[in-house]
Amino acid sequence: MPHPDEGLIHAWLDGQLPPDEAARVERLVATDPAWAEAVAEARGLVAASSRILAALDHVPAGVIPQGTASRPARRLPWWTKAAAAVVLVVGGSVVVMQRAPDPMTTPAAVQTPAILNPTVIQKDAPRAVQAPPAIARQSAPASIAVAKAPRPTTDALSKPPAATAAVAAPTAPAEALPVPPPAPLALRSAAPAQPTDDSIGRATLARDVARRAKRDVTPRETVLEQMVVAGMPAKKSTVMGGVSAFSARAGACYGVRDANVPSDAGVVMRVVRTDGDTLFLEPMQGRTSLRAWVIWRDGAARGAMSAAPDARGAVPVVATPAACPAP
Amino acid sequence: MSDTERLFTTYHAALVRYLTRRLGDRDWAEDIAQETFLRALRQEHLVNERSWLFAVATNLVRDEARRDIRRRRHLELLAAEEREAQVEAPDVTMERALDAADARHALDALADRDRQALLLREEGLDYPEIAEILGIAVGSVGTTLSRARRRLAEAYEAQGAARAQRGHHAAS
Repeated sequence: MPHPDEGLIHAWLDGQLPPDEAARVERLVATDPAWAEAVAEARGLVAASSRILAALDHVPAGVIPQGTASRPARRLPWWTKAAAAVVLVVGGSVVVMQRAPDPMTTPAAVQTPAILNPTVIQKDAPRAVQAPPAIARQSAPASIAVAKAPRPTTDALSKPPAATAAVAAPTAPAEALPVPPPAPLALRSAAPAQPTDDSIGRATLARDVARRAKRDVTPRETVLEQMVVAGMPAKKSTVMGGVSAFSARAGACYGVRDANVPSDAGVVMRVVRTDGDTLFLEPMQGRTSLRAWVIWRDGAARGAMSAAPDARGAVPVVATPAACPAP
Repeated sequence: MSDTERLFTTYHAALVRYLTRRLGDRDWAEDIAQETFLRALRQEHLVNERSWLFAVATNLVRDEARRDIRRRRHLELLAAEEREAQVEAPDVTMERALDAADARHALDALADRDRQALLLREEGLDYPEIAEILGIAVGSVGTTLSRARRRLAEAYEAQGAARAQRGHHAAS
């Protein structure tokens, strides 16, 4: 019988061995008391480690002076956050809404304070990541008894790691992390890159944290917020790098199509007004109830289009400059 | 949901938790996480998102740890203020604070590679991912983790024992 290999045992408990190797370890654990004892100890160490690390997630309440708990450098002006929200829309969000005020007509009246108020964002942000890992909750013994780790029954030992993972190994992350898709992820347009404004991206991320901390939001609500913010006046533009005078001016035309349907012929729409980075479009003819609002960045204009006055049922769209049809 | 939003929603909490445990400072962790996601946004393709994000975050921590001495001094100042302010905290809070302090000391006692491996594993990364991020062989991850877990538990117990000893002396 080989001497128990601690690294191998931990790999087995973590479910990281190939099937044949796992089967070999399983046999050794079932037949050799030394291996069984080593596994029992390793189980204790795995559980203890998780519990110890979970203790790092507890931030002592009321012992850190309020004024020193956060750094002033993280304060961002309100317009940065507004522009950040706009960036999210540009990123090609899947826009599916049920209730949304028409951003054409009521942009600012329905803005939520949490979006615009930096104080709220700063204050709420940490709560988004407060939850300790589930594994720690499951396996949190009152004290760490490495040497006294209970020896599991033969039954438990003979089970493969997957069957005992709940007590044995933190094989599952604290919040279920899905397996990354095998296909490469296209995060950005392949168009020539415009200069990246990191402050916008930072504000976007900060706003996302704050939004998730503030309440449990559904994707629809998320989109609603984005859309509402997209319709607000942007006093200072920092993401207009790719827009040309031609494509931005009122009266210019765009072919607007469903972003999720490449074969969609789309509809030609005219820019009826611009507001900061946002272009508002209406159809030249036909379905006059259609409204679209897009933002130009990185060589493409992206946004949403809806036929309903309250923007319900909006779909993500891509717009490309087009010749205006003859009247 | 856009790729950006999905990436953020899926990994942000885990990444910040990993960084908070690693750095002991949530604000700092949030900053590093933000920077990590910003870099992700600049990538056209990410083959393994999770591995990529944790690798970049780990490297950013390394870089910052090397160059940002001033920030560390700031944190030391915060820690000192925290200790001073920790006068009449409720028992539960105090117990948690002490527990966290013991855990921090125990984690800091580990070699950097062991610490990284442990924290990454706690966030659910598999052995090949950990090996890739740390630049070690997949076959040595189990050994690294077993050593890290043992040392962490031992160091934590030693902290608790030392504290109990100090309490005993103070009482007598």
